[in-house]
Amino acid sequence: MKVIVLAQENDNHTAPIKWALEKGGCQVACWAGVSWTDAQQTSLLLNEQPRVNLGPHTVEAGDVIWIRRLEQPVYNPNVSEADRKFAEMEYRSMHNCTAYLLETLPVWCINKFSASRFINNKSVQLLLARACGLKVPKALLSNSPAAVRDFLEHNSNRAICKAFMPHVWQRQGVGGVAVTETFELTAGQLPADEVLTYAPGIYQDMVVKQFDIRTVIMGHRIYSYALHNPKKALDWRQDAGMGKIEVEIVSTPEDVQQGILAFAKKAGICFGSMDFAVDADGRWWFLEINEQGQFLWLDQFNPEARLQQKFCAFITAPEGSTEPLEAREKQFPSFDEYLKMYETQKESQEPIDIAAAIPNSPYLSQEP
Amino acid sequence: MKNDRDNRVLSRTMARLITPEEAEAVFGSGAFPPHTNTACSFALVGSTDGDVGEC
Repeated sequence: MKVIVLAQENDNHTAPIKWALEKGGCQVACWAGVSWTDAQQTSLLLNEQPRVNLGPHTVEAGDVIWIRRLEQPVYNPNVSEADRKFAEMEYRSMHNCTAYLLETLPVWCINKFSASRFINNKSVQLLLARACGLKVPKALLSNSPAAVRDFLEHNSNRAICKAFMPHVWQRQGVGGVAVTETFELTAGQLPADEVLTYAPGIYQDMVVKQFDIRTVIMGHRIYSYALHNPKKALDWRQDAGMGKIEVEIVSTPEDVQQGILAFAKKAGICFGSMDFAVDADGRWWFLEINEQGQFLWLDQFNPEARLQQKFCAFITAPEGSTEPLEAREKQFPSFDEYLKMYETQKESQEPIDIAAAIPNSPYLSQEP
Repeated sequence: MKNDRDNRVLSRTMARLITPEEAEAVFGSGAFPPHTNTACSFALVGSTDGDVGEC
């Protein structure tokens, strides 16, 4: 059995997990997605004994495929200008043929590509969570000015607005960046109707929270962490990225656990990171799930979480195993040990210019 | 192209502004070794169909 990680080897979670798995005696390969280069070419031989080659790696029965960050397909830049659209569409089809095929093979996918496409939709998440018994704030997803105004004007609760996807605007004039985050919104703050049609939004009842919860799901195992933000920001993410939160290991209420397990089953996923807000009465409100949400930062803030080790134990667990992950986590090194190793290599690296490294990112815009 | 409040999307108007130093701390380009302050980073490398590097 080997683990094939569908991501760049230098991805911020792939690198430490690969290192930890190899330290634990596992074979690990990385493949980031279909591209024209030798290492990224893919072949799907479909006969009585299908064979799938992801670059130099052959997918074999019993392998574990961690679909961490599959990249967009890339066609050969030397293709004729007149053929570029065709090449792009063909590469896109090959990408989908590869990604969706994997879950039909005798391998374990974390998560199945079809399930990830399904559950990565905010509308699906919110409806499914409510159907599984989790508390979910009322929400409107809309680009209709009339619907948005009606939601905010006839809502007795405070409300927030958030984007479907994160985005960053790099400010060329004054420097720095602007990043999307959840913000409180009243009817009186709404802009002109036309502005509400520039981009759809998610409008939702605000949970007046004591603190946030990040829950990591690994199979039937659920690990929850309270996030305490001294700034009491509505959206903790940027503060977490800057190291300004505290992480506390907490128990997951029984009814929430049952709801999470039901959700994961209905969604067809075995791994993910869920966000909850805990209100003044201690009730947990489901906000969203990221089926490939980052989790090693929890180890960084609270080493007792040991999520790197738990995840390694999870993806190398024998099929059908119900053994606690804690029984095997010591087989793998911790994220703290990885960071110590990383520190010895950091000085040899050149600084990276973010804008130069990712000019075509769909999540980055330039503004004057 | 106008760049005033009237023609910007609402999420940009209400976006959080962070300094170049704070951006460096949060946005890794995915290079090894990672140079973000924490492993809770926003990967701006594009993925397909909604795979994003947000926490």
